[in-house]
Amino acid sequence: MIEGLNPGFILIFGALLVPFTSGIIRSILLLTLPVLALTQIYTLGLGSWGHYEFLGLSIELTRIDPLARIFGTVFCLASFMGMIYALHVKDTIQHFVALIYMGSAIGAVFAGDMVTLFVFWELTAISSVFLIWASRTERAYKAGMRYLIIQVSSGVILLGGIILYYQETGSIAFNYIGLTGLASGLILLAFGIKSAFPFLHNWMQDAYPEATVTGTVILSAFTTKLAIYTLARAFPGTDILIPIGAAMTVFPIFFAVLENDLRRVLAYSLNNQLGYMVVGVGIGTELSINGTAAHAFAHIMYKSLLFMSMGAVLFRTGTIKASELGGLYKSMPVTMVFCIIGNCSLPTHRRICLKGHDPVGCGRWRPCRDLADHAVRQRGRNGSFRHQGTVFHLLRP
Amino acid sequence: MSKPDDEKKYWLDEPKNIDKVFYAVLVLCALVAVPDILSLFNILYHKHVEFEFENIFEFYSLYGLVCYVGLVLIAKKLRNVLMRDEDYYD
Repeated sequence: MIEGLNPGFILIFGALLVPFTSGIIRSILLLTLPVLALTQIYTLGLGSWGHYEFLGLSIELTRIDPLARIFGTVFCLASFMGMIYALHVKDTIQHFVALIYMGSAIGAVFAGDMVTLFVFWELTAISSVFLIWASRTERAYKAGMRYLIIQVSSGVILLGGIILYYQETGSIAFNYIGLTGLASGLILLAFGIKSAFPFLHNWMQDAYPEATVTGTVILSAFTTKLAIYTLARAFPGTDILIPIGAAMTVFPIFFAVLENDLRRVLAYSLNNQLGYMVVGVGIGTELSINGTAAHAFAHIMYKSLLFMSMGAVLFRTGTIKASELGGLYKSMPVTMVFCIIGNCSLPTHRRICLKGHDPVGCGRWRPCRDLADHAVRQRGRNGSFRHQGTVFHLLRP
Repeated sequence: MSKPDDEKKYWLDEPKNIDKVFYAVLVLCALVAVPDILSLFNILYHKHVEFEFENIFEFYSLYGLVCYVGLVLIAKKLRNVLMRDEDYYD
């Protein structure tokens, strides 16, 4: 493995080979790249690489710490699974942009400074829109255009925030920022657009259901969870995130139960799950950040599974409108089983995650419990998040 | 009810099998309730209650049920305000 190479570059450079391959060679390439990126993450270990001076700014291309590594790991897993799901697609553009998109999301997670983050941030926006346009319908074109405008706006606001932040502090290192003034406010707004805060969320329900069958699965995993990662890095313990997140957990559900397009229902549900993570970041103790990361990890798994099963329904029947579907257990029993598994994991995981008495028994681990109780006393009575993250103590690197 | 021979008969087409699924779900619900009941006697785990009412028998299950039913009822009312035709934005 190349010393200090940001794992995201493996997917991005690998994507450049995609147009020159076909058939089984391409399949092998598509599946190997995420594995290589994952290997790169773990052979590098923890640390910081790729320091350059650029126009007087100190660039840090690769920075691996436990928080970045857990998100990087799940992004690699999601890339691998998404690629298996997309192997049947005979569309070079989709394979190419999907790899660029995944690579830039992984790259952003391991970015040590905000300029590198900004470059990858924009790259995720620009590459992902092609997964929407790949549907090649008028509707998808318009939805993609709206999506692109909002995503690029987020990037521009982020850049404005970074410039002001650099003026104030003289540093572009991507660490704890905290909400203190205009600069940090702009950065929070940029992160908030991507993590679909209330009133900034419409792009998701608008664009995700218009993407291709495989595109939606891939889209659902990266953009929003990247934003959650950046929030967890830069704004842990920012109190305003708690009411924002609480609103996010509630309002999308009302829309979800009214919606007829099943992929749009899932997009609303995705938004609601992000609310839990935003509350976790807002509480901001070590335990709640662990819980947020654990929830993001599991969320990517089961939400991808749900989008995959809905994609299979769309692929097979040609429609995804709930009012036109029914009795699918007869023709698609395997899909039904996977869909049920995905649905069960929604409440089950939260139950394990949110309550202290987890099946692995680490809720009885005293330091962990004391920390949880401390978190509650410190941060008010946010009961639902009380013991979140106890499971994750076992998974931490 | 007679079916054409070429149409496969599925397990769930039998009404009595639907009953079986219903009862299986009931059993599952009861099993899920067991840990909370045991916790009343401090057997499986200890509840770290923040409020006294969390000690009520099966509080979390009831809380979930009330919230969820409430959510659906509110959503039904909201339907009049929020619902749009499917081609509304086209």
